[in-house]
Amino acid sequence: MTDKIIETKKLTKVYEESKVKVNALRGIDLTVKKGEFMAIAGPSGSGKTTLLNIIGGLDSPTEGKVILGGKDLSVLSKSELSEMRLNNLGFIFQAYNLIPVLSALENVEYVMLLQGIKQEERQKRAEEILKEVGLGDYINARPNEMSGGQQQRVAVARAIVSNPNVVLADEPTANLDSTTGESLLVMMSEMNKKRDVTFLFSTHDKMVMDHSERLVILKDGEITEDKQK
Amino acid sequence: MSGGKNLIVTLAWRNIWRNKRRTIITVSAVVFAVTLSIFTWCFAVGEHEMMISNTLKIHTGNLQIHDLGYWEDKTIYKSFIPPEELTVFLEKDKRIGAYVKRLNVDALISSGSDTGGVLLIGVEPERELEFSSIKKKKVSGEYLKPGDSKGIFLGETLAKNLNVKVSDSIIVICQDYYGAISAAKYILTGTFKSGSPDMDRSMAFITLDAAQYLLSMDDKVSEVAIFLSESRSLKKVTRDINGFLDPEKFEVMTWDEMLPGLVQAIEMDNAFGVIFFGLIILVVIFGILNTILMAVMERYREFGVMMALGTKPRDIVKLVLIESAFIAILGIIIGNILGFGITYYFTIVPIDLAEYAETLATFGMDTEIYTKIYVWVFVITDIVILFSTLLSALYPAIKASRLKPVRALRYV
Amino acid sequence: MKLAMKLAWRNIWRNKRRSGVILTAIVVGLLGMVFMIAIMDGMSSDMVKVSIENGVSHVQIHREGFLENMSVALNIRNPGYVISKIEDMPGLKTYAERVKVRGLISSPENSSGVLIWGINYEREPKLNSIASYKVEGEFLSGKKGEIFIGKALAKKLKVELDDKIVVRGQGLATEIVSAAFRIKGIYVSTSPEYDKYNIFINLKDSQNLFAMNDRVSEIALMADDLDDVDSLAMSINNEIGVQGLKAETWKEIIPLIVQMVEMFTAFNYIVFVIVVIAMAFGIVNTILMSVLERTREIGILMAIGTKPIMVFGMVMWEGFFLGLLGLVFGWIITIFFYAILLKTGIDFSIWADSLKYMGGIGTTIYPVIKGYNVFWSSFSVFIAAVLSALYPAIKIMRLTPVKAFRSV
Ligand SMILES: Nc1ncnc2c1ncn2[C@@H]1O[C@H](COP(=O)(O)OP(=O)(O)OP(=O)(O)O)[C@@H](O)[C@H]1O
Ligand SMILES: [Mg+2]
Repeated sequence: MTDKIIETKKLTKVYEESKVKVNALRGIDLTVKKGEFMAIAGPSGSGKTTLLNIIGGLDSPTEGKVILGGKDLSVLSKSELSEMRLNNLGFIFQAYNLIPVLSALENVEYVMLLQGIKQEERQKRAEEILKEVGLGDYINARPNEMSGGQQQRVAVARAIVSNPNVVLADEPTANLDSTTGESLLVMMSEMNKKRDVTFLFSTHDKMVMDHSERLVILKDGEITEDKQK
Repeated sequence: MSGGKNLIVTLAWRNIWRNKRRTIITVSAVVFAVTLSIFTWCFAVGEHEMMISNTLKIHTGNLQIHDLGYWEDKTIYKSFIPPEELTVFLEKDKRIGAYVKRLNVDALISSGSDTGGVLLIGVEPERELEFSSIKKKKVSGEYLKPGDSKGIFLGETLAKNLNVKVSDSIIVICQDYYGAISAAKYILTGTFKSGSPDMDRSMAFITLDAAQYLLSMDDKVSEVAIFLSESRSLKKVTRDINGFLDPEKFEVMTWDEMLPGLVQAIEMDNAFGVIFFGLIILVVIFGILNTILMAVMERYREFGVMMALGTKPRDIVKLVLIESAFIAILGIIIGNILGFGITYYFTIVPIDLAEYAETLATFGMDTEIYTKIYVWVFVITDIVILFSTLLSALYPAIKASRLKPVRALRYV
Repeated sequence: MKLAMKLAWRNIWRNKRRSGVILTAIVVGLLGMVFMIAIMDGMSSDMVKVSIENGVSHVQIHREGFLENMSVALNIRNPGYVISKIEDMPGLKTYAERVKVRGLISSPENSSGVLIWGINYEREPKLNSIASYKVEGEFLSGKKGEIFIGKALAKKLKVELDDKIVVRGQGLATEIVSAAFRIKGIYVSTSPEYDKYNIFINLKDSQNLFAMNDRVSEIALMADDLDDVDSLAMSINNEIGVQGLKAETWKEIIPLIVQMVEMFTAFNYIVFVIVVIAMAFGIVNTILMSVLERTREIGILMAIGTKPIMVFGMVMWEGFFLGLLGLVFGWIITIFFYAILLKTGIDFSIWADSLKYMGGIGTTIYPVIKGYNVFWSSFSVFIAAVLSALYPAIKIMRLTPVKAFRSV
């Protein structure tokens, strides 16, 4: 049981907001084990973002359910979902990940603050992890004073600092050049090993697919391939 | 190029609906300012007109003719016999609603047990009643009857002070035209309450004949008060009368010269109104300025693209101004409708200020106030609001037009 | 909540121009509102002050009914006894006894209805400004046959200093009496209407003229403090114990002024409401815009575990801080202007004639910022800011992260 960290059962998502109905997901059954470092790939519009959002409890499925760390997300209230995300999940988005009015250190501290961790420990952990991602000199910089790659590192630091079970990253390297992207990926891979955190990416990036240990391909809302390397 | 202008207008119209909520709030602010201005202004003007007409109708009239210097001295020695040409004019001219002759003197009045000083006024009752609202203000007994040389009609407060009731006798003592003490006994016919504490405390009416007899003054009078059928003709009538009366002998005074306190009370009220309205506009305009500023700043990139494509800075200014004009005009239209509706409602249902009855009475106002629709109030409000909105849009508009395309494109 | 506060505070400083403009709007609104009301209040307190100092005093004792018809018959028979009873009362500053009779004053040229005051020339100036209004000659000195009249009346009667005039009125024995007086001094008070109507002679002369022996019409009193007036009147009423005598406060003597002040105050509350609404439109839009342009950012805040209620709190704090900053700047500027205007006053002389409707106040108005003005205008600004934040705050709290990401 402890093995299965994420389990989706017959997930479907239908968008009916505009005139056309969009079947973004059509019955996704996916099981992710603890400690996996896996990528979801597929053409644009295939449903990658939708799947990650639903797994993260940001969106709800039309049918089917998500079981995360043994808990069924569909029974949780909005604020219980917040609580769950706070303690179990880390998020990394494509860009503009950080709160512009907070410094790198404060951005990292933010999540721990919500968790109610004491000031001293917060600061210590945040500094450590920023050093770990190679930003020891940028502790007090605001997001607009950092490059895109540095901002993404802060985002990784923030995602990891609260010791989550799973980090969900939606195209984290899409806005970066290949060298920067690769070093970010190497760093995340180290985190994955060292801390035993599950990473789930969505990506178009060939390099990300190469680095990942398991690759799931989505097409038109269905899983067409699931390769273990 | 014929479509050029229209394109900017179309663009402006679409732009303001890009953020509906923001536009609605901004338009609401304009609606609020317009409605408030129209209603309070119509209310104030209506109230002022009522103050004036009430005050004039009770006693003063629209204009008066005196012996030169009478108004300054208020003495019986500055009196006159109305000349022939004046009475002919007043009888014949259609603009004259009514005119009355009066003789005024300060006198001592006594009921036997109590005494006080009064302004004793000799009037022609039948003529006074042609226009005066004094009959409506009567609270006990009757007004003077023509030819009743023994009757006296008093202010309510005065009657109370003297401790007299209808048909009690009253003694009046004064100095006659030749400096001798003259006294006479009158019977109280009735009392009035004009609302003005001053009038109610100090005025006593007898017939003109009785007054002239008491003062040994034959046909002389202190004033001829004239009531116009239409107050608009005041200037022309005054000029006409001045045309034939000898300015060395007579003075022709309009109500505003005789009641400077009333005129200034209205002016002061207006000044407060203008200051208050100005304050509200200022506060609202700053809000609008901010909204337009934000709407412009979040579109820097877009303006950059437009300019890169060859749009002239002048057109950018125009675009922003037209957008603001749309907002102002929308607000003005709705504000006029609302303002009209509210004002119209209060032309039917009065605003009840009974709580402040006595204060209002000092200013000659009723406690039930009806508003009136004044078109010029709407027009001035609309112009002021439109221009101040455009003025507030000028800063953001110019800022946007000064933008360098390269910088604008980088702006996020 | 600390965190929400910190984020809110920083968010306000993110777009300095935007915050600056809306703060200016708040400051202008506060400044205007406070001063409009302060001027009204300044007029009101002047009205009260001038009336009190022009003879109304804080408290008057007379026979019941005297105020209604000022009859000589309604008098205080034994003023010495009444005075001995109240003289040492705590809270009493000073007193003066008076005769007041309505009568007629005549010169060879003209005559005029007047109110004759018979006053104690020593004690009266302690509670009445009349002596200080003197422009010609001298105030009463206690000698027989002196009279002190207003300039406007002197003009009407065509008389000058040292001229003789005749005062006529009804004595206690109900016959009309008259006596000649010599003009000792001429005064100009704050209102020509007052000057035309009020004439002053020595108490003894008035008692002789109207055959009143030692009787007086009223005893006027000043309390140590305007706020003690009601309690002073009450303790006098308990103490004197003379049938038919009653102490009344200035509020009962000049109800018209009291009502006028109340009407002004009622208008002031309308001013608060209207200014609040006018300010709120601008603030709502400012906060709404600043929130909407951060939609994505707020979506991220929520995605990483921030509860909706905290996002709500953050926006509310932004409104709170805007209001607070507006108040701080607004009051600094207001106090600055207040300090100046307290010295210079505001010139209302162009409306001099209409001010006489308001109890003859002077033409220089000194604004008075009262406690309720401070409270309600601050409260109004605050409410405008916080209520304005409510709509954007609720709006953004309802947002889901997915919608937030798609909206940009
Ligand atoms: N909120 C929404 N309303 C309507 N349709 C939506 C919504 N979100 C996603 N879709 C649609 O659902 C489908 C899947 O979208 P999704 O964003 O998950 O794709 P994706 O695989 O992440 O694509 P990309 O690689 O471009 O990011 C698309 O056809 C998209 O248009
Ligand atoms: Mg996607």
